[in-house]
Amino acid sequence: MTQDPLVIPGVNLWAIAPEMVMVAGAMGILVLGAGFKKSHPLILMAGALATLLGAAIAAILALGQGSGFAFDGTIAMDGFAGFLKLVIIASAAVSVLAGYDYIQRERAAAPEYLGLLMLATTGMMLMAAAADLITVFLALETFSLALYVMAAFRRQRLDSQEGAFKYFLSGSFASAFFLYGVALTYGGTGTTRLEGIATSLSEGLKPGTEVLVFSGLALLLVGLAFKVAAVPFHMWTPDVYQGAPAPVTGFMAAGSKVAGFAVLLRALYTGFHELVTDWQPILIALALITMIFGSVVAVAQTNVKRMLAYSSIAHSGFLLIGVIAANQRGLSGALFYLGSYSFVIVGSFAVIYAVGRAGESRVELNDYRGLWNRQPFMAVALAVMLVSLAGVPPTAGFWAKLEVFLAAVEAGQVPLVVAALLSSVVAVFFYLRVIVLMFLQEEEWTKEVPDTGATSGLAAAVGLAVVAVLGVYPTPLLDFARQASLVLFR
Amino acid sequence: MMPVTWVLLLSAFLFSVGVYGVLARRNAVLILMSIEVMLTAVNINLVAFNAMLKDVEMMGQIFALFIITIAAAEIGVGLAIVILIYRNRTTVTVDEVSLMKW
Repeated sequence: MTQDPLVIPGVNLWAIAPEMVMVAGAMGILVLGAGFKKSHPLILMAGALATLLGAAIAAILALGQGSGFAFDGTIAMDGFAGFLKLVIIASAAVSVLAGYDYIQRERAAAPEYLGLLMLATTGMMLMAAAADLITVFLALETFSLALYVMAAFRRQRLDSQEGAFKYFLSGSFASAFFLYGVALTYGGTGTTRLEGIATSLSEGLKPGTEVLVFSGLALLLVGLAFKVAAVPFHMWTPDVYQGAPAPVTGFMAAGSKVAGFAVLLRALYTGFHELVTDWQPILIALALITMIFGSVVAVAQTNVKRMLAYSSIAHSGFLLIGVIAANQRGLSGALFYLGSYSFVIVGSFAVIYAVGRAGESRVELNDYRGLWNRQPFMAVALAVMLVSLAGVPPTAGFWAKLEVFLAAVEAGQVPLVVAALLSSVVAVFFYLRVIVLMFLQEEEWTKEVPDTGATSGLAAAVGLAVVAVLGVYPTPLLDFARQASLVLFR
Repeated sequence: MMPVTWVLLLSAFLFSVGVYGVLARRNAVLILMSIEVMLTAVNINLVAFNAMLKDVEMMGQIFALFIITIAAAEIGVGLAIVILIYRNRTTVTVDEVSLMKW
């Protein structure tokens, strides 16, 4: 018996350089925290920020290495992955800043917080680069497991536990559906590589395997719709957003949305592009109910964190419009949307932290009454970011929505855009209500200012600056997003 | 030779049992077990497809190994959260874990 020569798949470490930096940094921080009990949170935070900076540099250098696949086609190295990795790193860095104050005030465990945050970031970055459904699953679980624990971070508090519990149960339920979808797709197409799936779909399916591919795709969409919190797979969102500590919520809102849409975009635009007429109607229905439900239910909320949870559901609906467009503008619009949304949501939750008191109290709408008199900077920052979430010009959120809607019009989805505009109008109401409360209403009782640290103010300032700068001058990020979107249209 | 359809039917049945368990059971630990049953169904599916496709890269079997590993990690985190809840409330009935609604 002759032996075949051993074929070793091409290894290109540039493709996973940012992830390697992040894992090394996370391990370092965990060891430092375990070895030196007295290590000051400031040192750990500096270490986390340095690691994130290193990962960002690695991601930028990797962008210059050309695009292609590494590790036998399981990991993609291209502008799309690079763009989203940078977005995830940036929102993680802002969350580290906001989290530092939280750790100080609540006397929480700094090494665990930072270590989990960095491991979750690693998983999210891998999601952006995954070109094989096995890699997608591994990355999904890496960041999900870290986020389940982070949601339970205030472990003495009942609402934090409950949020984590619900997140875990519905999350692993959805993962099982996702996996069943992957298994059926594998049976139908004979591969788990997205490129391979695209090839086998364009060659035409063997009779009898269509049912496997279609039910596989449907179950895949269920799993991903859960991660991006699209209705009717959104049940966990409000409870987890309310229960988790504000900085964690901001990170979770930004990161899991970017990671979920990264896979959704890559899988539907490359692997399943052949079936575009089949998945478009499903996503149109999802987008419609997601936008309308999110915007309408948010109006009824009295808790600011819950309100932003429903607003994030509505934003998933708007982002789905970019996916539905299935053209290059839709892709670049969705990328720009994810970039601006991440900064805004992380910054908003930094403000929510700063307005709240120890034990995460004071997150009701009434607590924002007269915030302008108490904490003028926080009031201005939150107001600008809410205006951006509402999509009013000239803010980053406006350009994001404009790009996505124009892409859908180009694709001929005019009724969908009309529905999106109407639900945006509904959404303006509850964003403006907070602004009115902050600036025009007198506070009822206290003038005391909570003891927030400086770094959460810095986090809010970053969010504010990005919204304002991108609002006035969105061209650089738009161009970057256009560049990044080219790779999926060859 | 057994037709692959039978194996797929077994897997679909197991998956449905798991889904029913998650939706109908009220004890958190039993829900975790039901999720494990769903993952097992996926593993059976993957291995069956691997044999059916005569996949030389063994992707299905490798994926099954990954799923077994991740499932172990997942159940670890899940049980930790369940114990956390049990300590505070001395119950793991999901109906009673309902502070937050709408």
